[in-house]
Amino acid sequence: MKLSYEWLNEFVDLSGIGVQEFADRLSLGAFEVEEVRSFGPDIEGPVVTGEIMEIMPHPNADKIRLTRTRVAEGEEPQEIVCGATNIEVGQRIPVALPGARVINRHDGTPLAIKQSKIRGVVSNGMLCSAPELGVTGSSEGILVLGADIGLGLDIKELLHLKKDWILHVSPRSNRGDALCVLGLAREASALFKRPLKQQALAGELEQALRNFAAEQSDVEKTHVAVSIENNTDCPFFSARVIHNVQIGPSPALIARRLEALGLRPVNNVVDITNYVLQELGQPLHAYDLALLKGAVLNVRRARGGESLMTIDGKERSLPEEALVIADAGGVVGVAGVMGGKYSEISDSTTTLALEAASFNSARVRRSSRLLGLSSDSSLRFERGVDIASVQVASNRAAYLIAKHCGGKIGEMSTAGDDKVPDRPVQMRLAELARLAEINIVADDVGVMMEPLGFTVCIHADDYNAGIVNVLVPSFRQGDVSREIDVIEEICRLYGYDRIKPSMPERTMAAPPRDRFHANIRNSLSASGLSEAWLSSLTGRDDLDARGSCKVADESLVVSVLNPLSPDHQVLRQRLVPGLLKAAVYNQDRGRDDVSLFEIGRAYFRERETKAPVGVPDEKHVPAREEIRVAGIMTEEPVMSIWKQVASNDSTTNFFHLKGVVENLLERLSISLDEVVFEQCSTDDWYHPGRTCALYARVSAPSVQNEKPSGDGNGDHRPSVDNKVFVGIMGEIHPQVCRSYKLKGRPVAFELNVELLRSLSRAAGLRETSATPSVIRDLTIDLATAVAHSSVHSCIADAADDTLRRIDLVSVFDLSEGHKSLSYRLTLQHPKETLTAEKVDGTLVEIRKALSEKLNASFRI
Amino acid sequence: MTADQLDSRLKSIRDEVLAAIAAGQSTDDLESVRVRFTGQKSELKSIMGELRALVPDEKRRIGQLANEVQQAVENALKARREDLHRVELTKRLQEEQIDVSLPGTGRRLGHIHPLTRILEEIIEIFHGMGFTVVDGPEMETEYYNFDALNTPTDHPARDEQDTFYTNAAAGVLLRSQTSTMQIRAMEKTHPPLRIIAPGRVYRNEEVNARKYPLFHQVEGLLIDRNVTFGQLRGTLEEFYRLLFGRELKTRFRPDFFPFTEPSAEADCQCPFCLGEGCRTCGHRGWLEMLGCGMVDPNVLKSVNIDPTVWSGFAFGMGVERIAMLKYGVNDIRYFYNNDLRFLEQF
Ligand SMILES: [Zn+2]
Repeated sequence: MKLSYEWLNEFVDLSGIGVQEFADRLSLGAFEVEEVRSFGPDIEGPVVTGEIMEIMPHPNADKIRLTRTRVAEGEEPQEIVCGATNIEVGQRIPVALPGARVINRHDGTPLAIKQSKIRGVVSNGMLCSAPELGVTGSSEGILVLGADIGLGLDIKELLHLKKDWILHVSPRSNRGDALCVLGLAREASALFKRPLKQQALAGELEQALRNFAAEQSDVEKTHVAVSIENNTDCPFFSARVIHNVQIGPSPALIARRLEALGLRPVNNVVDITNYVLQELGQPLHAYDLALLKGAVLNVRRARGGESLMTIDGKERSLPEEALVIADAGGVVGVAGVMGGKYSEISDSTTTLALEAASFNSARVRRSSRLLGLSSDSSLRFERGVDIASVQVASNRAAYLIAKHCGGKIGEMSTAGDDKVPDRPVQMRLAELARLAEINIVADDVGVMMEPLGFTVCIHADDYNAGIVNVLVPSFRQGDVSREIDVIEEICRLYGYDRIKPSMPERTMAAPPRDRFHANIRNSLSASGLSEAWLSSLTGRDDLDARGSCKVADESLVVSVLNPLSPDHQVLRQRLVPGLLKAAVYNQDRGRDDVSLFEIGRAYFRERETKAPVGVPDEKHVPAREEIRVAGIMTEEPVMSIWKQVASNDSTTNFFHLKGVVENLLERLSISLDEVVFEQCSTDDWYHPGRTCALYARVSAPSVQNEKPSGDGNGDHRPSVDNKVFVGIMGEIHPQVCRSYKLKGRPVAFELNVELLRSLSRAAGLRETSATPSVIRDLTIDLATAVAHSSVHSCIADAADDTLRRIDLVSVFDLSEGHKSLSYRLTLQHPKETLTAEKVDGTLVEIRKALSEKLNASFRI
Repeated sequence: MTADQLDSRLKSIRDEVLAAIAAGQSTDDLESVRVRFTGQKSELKSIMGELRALVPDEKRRIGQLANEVQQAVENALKARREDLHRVELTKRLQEEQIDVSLPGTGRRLGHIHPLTRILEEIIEIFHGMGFTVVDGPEMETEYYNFDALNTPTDHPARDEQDTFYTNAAAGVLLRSQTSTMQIRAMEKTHPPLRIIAPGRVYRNEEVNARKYPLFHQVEGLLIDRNVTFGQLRGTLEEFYRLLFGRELKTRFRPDFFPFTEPSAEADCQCPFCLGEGCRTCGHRGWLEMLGCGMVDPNVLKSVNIDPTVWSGFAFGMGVERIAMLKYGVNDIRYFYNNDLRFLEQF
C-alpha cells in the first residue's frame, strides 16, 4: 500500500526522523518499504490569493491582456499580464508574486517569477493555472478559486500543497490491520518509541458526533432496515443515514491526500469513504438512499441468474458463491468488493446510507476471484478487517461528511455482533530464550508490545515463573493466538539484527552424494551435447506432435484445471518434443548443428486412483513421475569440419548417436552385454526403419520387479519376455519434423533413468590373462535382411569360451539383396597358449553355424 | 705379400676407406663402402687370410694392425652414419612442417546448463555442512503442499500462490513450493535431521522477464535439540560466504510464511558493490536472497515431532533468482529458451 508520511505524522509525531531512516527501520522491523518517492510541487515564495479588479487589452499584443489585480483588501492593484481567456473581473485567483517559484506548465521545470517587461509592459507577477501549481485540474486557463476566499492567503496552505513523501509498503497476507495509516502508525510508535496520537483524535470525534446528534432533532428519524442471512459470511453489518448532503468537490486536504496516493478524487462523499479506508483500514460504501428500494439492506449469497452493473460500469453475472448486498429490488453491491452503479452517489444525491461492515475474508476472496474483480476494499477484507473498528470508522466518516458535505447525521442500524473480547496468550520467557536466545525481563515485554495495542499483564505468581500474559486486541487476533506468535512480535521489535549468528552445535556428516545424474551429464556433454532445461508444462499439441502422432491413452494425461496459457496446460509425457522445439528455436537463429540433452520428468496419471492400503487419501497422488534422459542431435557435434570426409550417407547421425548412447551406458557402468538394441517400428514419433528400442536383459532382481511402463512412449512397446524396455533411440519421423518445421534428419533418444540406475554395476576387476591372443578375420556373405545382431549372437553361441571379442570391421552391399560383413575375432585361452589347430576348430564350428542358421557363405 | 707390404697395404686401405666414408653422402653410400671394404670379398678380408703365412711375431703385429684398421673403419662408419642420420632427420622435419593454426578436429564439448551449475554450488555448500540431499514428487496433494504446512483451507497464503490444480484427483496439485519436502523428510526420518531438497515448483503466472509458470527452489530443513534463530542466521551467513567467496553481512527482515515463525527474509550484502549500491542490487546495497524462519510448532506436531523437545529452522531459495544474480542474467526466459548462444557461455 501507499503511505503518506505527512499523514502518518498526524497519528504519531516522527519529527526529527528522516523519511529514509523511517523507511529503513520499518523494513527491518515490520514491513518492507519498496520505494520512497517525493510528492508535491516545488512551490516556493509568495504565491497568494488575489482578485482581478480590471482587465484591459495589451497595447502591443492581441493574444494577451493586461490585468489589474490586488492581493490585499484596500491595496492598490498591480498590473499583471495574462494570456488566459477564462479570466473575468471579480474572480479570485492564485497570484505568484516576484520572488516566487512555480512550475513551468510546458515542461514541469521550476519557473522563477520576477518583475519583467512583456511586450513593453511591466508585469508584476503571474496569475497561475492548475498545472503551474502542480495540482490536477483543467490545464486551460487560470485556476479560479471560490468567490468567498479571502485575499493574500498562502496558496500552499489553502490548496494543501505541502511537500510529502509517499512510501510503498509491502502488505502481508496475515496483517490486514496494517494496511492503513493508523496500523502503520502503531508500528512506527513501537519501533521509534513515540506515543500514538489516536486517542486524542477519537475524543475529538466523539465530541463532534454528540454535537451533530444534538442538532438533528428536526430531521426525520428514517433508518435503513438491515439484516444478515448468514453470520459466518458477515458477522456484523451497519448502515447509517446521513441527510441533507451537498455533493461537490472534496476539501483540498482530502483531495490532496488521495491524489498523493494515486487515487482520483470523485466527489466529497466518495472521497471521504476512501479517505477513511486509507486512514483506518475499514472499507465503507455510500448508497444514494433515494435509490434503495424499500430502504432495506440485506446481506446474502447471490441467487441464480442475478447480475449487477458495478460502479466501474461493467455488467457482471453473479455466481451463487458470491456474497452480495441487496435491497428490496435486488442486488445493489458485491459485499466487500464493489458497489452497484445504479445506487451510487451522484450530484443529485441528498440523503445517503453509509455502509460499514465486517465480511468474512475467505468469502470476499472467493467473490473477488470468481468475478475477477478486486478493489482497495477487497484487498483489505481478504487480509482481515478489525470487526471492533467498524463503528469507529463509520463514525469517523459520518463526522467528516457532516463537516465537509453539510450533512446531518441520522440513525445507525446494525445487525450481528461486533464485540470481540481481548484474547489472552501466555508467553514464557524461557521459551523466548530457547528459540531466539533473547533474555529480557517481563517488564520489557510490556514496553515493547503495548504501543502495538497489546496489553501486557504480569501477575505476581507468574512473574517469578517467567510467564507473561498478553491480551491480544481485536485487530491482531487474526495473526496472534499462540505463544510463538508473541515470540515473533518480540523478536522483530527487539531487532532481528541483534540476534547473534552462530553455527548449529552438533556436527553431522552427510552421506556421499548420488553422482548418477552428474555422470549422465558428464558423459553426454563430453559427447558434444549441451544441457537444456525444458518446461514440463506444455501445450496439448506436444502430446501428438501437432497432429502427426496418436496420443496412446488420453486418460493417462495429467492436465492442469486452471491453465493461464494454452502453452502450459498439460504435463509432458516425453522429453523429446521440448528438445525438438529447442532445436527449432536454435535453427531459426541460424544454428544448424544443434545437440542438446535433458534430464527431466515425464508424468502419467494412474488408472487406479484409490490409495493403497495404509496410505491415507490425503497423502495419495494417483499419478506417476518418471525421470528420463533424452537427447537430440541434428548434426555430428564436431569442432571443425575441414578434415571431415564428405559423406552423403544419411545414416551417419543415427550411428553417431548410437555411439553416444553406448558411451553413456559404459560411463554408467552398464555392460553392453546387459542391453539389447532391437529394431522398433511402432513409435510414430520415429522413423519406422531407423529406430531401435533399448531393452535390458533381465537378470537382476531389481529389474525383474519393475513393471515395464509402456504408457509413456505410445503403444509401440512389445512385451518381450525377460526384457525390460529402457527407452528408444532413432531418427525423428520426417512427418514430425515437418510439423515442427525442423530441418535436417535429427536423431534422438529417450531413456528411463531409474532403470538405467538399476542396471549399473560396481566395477569389478577381472584378471588380465598373460597368454597370447589370436586374431582371425572372417568375411561372411548373406542376405541383406539378416541383422548384424543375429550374426553376432550366432558367432557367440557357436564359439567356445576362448572367443573374447567380435568386432565388426566392414559392411558392403553386394548385388541382388546380399551383403558382406567382415568380422575380426579375438580368441584367447585364460591359461594355455592356443594352437593353430584349436583355433581352426573353433572357426569351423562358427562357419558351420552361420551357414546352417543364416544361410551364409564365405570367402577364403 | 711380405709383412711390410701387408703393413703398408693395410695403412693405405685404411686411408682409402676413411676417405670414402667421409665422402659418403647417404646411408646407402656408407653401406656400399662397408660392403666394398669390409665385406666377405673385400681386400681386408683377403689380407686377413694371408696372415696365416707369416711368422708368429709378424702375424701378431700385422694382425693387430688389421684389427685396428677394422676398428677404425667401423668407428668412422658409425660416426658418419650418425651425422648423416641427423642431417636426414633435420631435412625430414623441415619438410614435414604443418600449419598448426588449423583448427582441431575433435568432438565439440557440450555445456552444462547454468541452473545445474548454480544448483551444484548450492547443494555442495550445504552438503559440506552435513545436509543430505533428498528428492520428491512434483505432483502433490494439498496435504503436503498446504495443510501439513500450517496453511489451512481459508488461509490467504493459499490464494497468493496461484496454485495449479490437476485432473489426477481432487486436490492433487503441482507443488507451489519445495516446502512439501519438509513434511516428507520429517515423516521419513526422526530428528536430528538436516536435509536439502532441490526441485521444480509451479505457480500459475503469466510469463514475463521475472516470472515463469515453473521455476526451481532449494529447501533446507534442520531439526535438532536447542536449535535457535541465531543458528539459522549463522548457517545462512556461511552459505553466502561460500557462494560468493567472501565475507558478507546478512540482514534479516520480518516476513510471513505459514510454516515458520518467526519468519524472515534473509538479505545478503551485495557482493558486487559491497553495499555501496549498484545495478544488480537496485542500488540498495543488499540482495534479497531467500525466505526462512523457525519451524512452526504446528508443523512439527503434524508429523508427530514434539516441539517442546525439538526445534528447527527452514529456508527456501529460488534457484533462478540466485543464478540471475550470480551470472548477471536479466530475463528468466533465457533459462528455458535453451539458446545455444546462451548455453555455450557456461
Ligand atoms: Zn550492489
